[in-house]
Amino acid sequence: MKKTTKIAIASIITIVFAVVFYIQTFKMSKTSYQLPRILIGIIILLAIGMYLESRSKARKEAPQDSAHKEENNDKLHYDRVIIFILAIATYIFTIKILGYFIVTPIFIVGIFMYLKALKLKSALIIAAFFTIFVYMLFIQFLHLPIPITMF
Amino acid sequence: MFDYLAIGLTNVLTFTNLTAIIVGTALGLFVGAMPGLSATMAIAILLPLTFNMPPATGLSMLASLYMGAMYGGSIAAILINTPGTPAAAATVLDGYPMAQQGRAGKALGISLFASLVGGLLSSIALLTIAPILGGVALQFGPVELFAVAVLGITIIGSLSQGSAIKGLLSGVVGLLLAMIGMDPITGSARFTFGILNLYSGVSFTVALIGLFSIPQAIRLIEKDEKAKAVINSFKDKMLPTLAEIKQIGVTVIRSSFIGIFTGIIPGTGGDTACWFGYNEAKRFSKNRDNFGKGDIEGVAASEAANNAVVGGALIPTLTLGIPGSSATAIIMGALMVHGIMPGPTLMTEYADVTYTLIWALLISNFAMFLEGLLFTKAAIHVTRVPNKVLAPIIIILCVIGAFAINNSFFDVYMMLIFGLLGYFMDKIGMPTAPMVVGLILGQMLNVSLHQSLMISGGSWLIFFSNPISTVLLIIAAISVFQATPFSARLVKSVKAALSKS
Repeated sequence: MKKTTKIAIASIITIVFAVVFYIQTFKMSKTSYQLPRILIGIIILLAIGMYLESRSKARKEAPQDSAHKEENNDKLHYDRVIIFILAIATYIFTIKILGYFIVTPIFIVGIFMYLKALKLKSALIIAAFFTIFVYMLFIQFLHLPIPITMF
Repeated sequence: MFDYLAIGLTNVLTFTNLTAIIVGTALGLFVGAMPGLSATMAIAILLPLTFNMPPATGLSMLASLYMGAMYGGSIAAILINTPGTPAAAATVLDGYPMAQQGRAGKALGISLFASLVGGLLSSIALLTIAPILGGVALQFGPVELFAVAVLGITIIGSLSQGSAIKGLLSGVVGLLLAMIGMDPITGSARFTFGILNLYSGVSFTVALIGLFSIPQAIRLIEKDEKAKAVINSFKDKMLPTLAEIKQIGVTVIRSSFIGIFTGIIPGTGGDTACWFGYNEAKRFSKNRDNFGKGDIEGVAASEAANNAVVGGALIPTLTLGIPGSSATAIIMGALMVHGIMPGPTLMTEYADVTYTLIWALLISNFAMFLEGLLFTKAAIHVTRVPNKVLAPIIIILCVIGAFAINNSFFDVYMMLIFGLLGYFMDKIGMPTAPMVVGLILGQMLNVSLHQSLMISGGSWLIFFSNPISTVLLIIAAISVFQATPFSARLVKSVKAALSKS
């Protein structure tokens, strides 16, 4: 995806976000909405400015430069990024149900295996060590809560 | 003031605080040595660990970590040709050639010595300038505080790397997000969308863990790791000789002052200072042709400047409540976690904590020097930890850290949302630091605006009724104007007019 397109999408999302917030201000008193409305106005102006700036930069850029940039972007593994984000989301939602001690080692080993970062044996050792280390650090040493309860 | 200095010194010399400084510096040194992990991210992830510590101890640990990470970044820069932190980017230029010539130990020693001098000078600057500026800031009423908040957000936004418009947009969105929750003036709910957890507002701690750590973890896996040009060990002596100290002395002092001033300006940090220091050293050097080929002055210039940023960046943070860098924004967040509001009262009401922090920063330089001599060889091993191994570990620390704040899963979900937002912002070149600053300054802006308008009976002219707020708002307006295309056109036309005349 071209950078200008990405910025156009970001500008639209920002404006939608600002409009949603603006609608919410109708439920508030004048004192409460005064500053937010000013900020919303500035956000809309800056979002438009961001899009215009990207268009102006794209026009100035030489065609071979943008081709080179596209080539560089191709090196990014977006499939890997999507799976990693989904794994994080799954980790967060399942830790609430299954608890820290079950989900954390599975997450670590799963990611290591998917990314081919380590061999299974090393992955299991690191996962076990790190899970216990975090538990000891947070619970035993710093007396901070971790999502440990199962069900 | 001298009483506070004495109290701070007494506090910092307790066993607990000294241990926190030693541990913080060591953590910083090792985390800084890992390429791909920034000092900011390390502080964000470790912030939850300080929740149950006394405020002075927790803050001392975070500040020491920041200092240690600045030196740690040079280890990877020198040995594997990849800066451990963005602030060590310029160190690569001469550090790695020195390592290739078999002088890796010397390069690390020069880096350590320059870091010590830079850090010490900036700590002294903090110790002397902060109380004076803090005294001035104490006279500030709501009108001046409003102007300070406006200036903070406009400067950090407009000086952000890349596009100033994106920096400003990020900052203003942060300000708007800070409006979520109960309005402190009217007591009514704003932008809560019926979600009960949002009544207490968006936790900036959660936001900064997400914004600074999740995108970094994703970046670590999105590309294939390049083979690192590794130098596994060094046998030469680290400590510089007297002749070498003489050779780099002026450069180190110049770069230290550059670092301090760069740090004071909000929005600029170690990554700017290292290049600024390096370029100035090259400009003034008699042997400028040797720069880039393994000159000790090049290493010293960059490293003195990036460590000097630490103290400099804490000056506006502690006195005005405007963070000088992303890392100090997190330290500011840490203050707020402990119920301490950053701003002018830090130097009086919370003087014991503030002066302990300042002394801790000074002492962390000595800890960094000694630990650097002892642990640099051990830190070489962490430069080889693959990025793919670090990524899930960062995620777990983020999740557990976000949960630990309020024992709440809502915070974890918010952290993930901010993390993904930060990643997409990174993809379009929008900086995340202004958003965090906006979240921090939002309430100060809101309260000071309403108090000022109440004083003036609703007239906005009150902000131009006294010289301090007028000057601050004019500077803010200039910083916004220089971000617009009109400023470039104006400069062009002025230049053209001057050349004609």
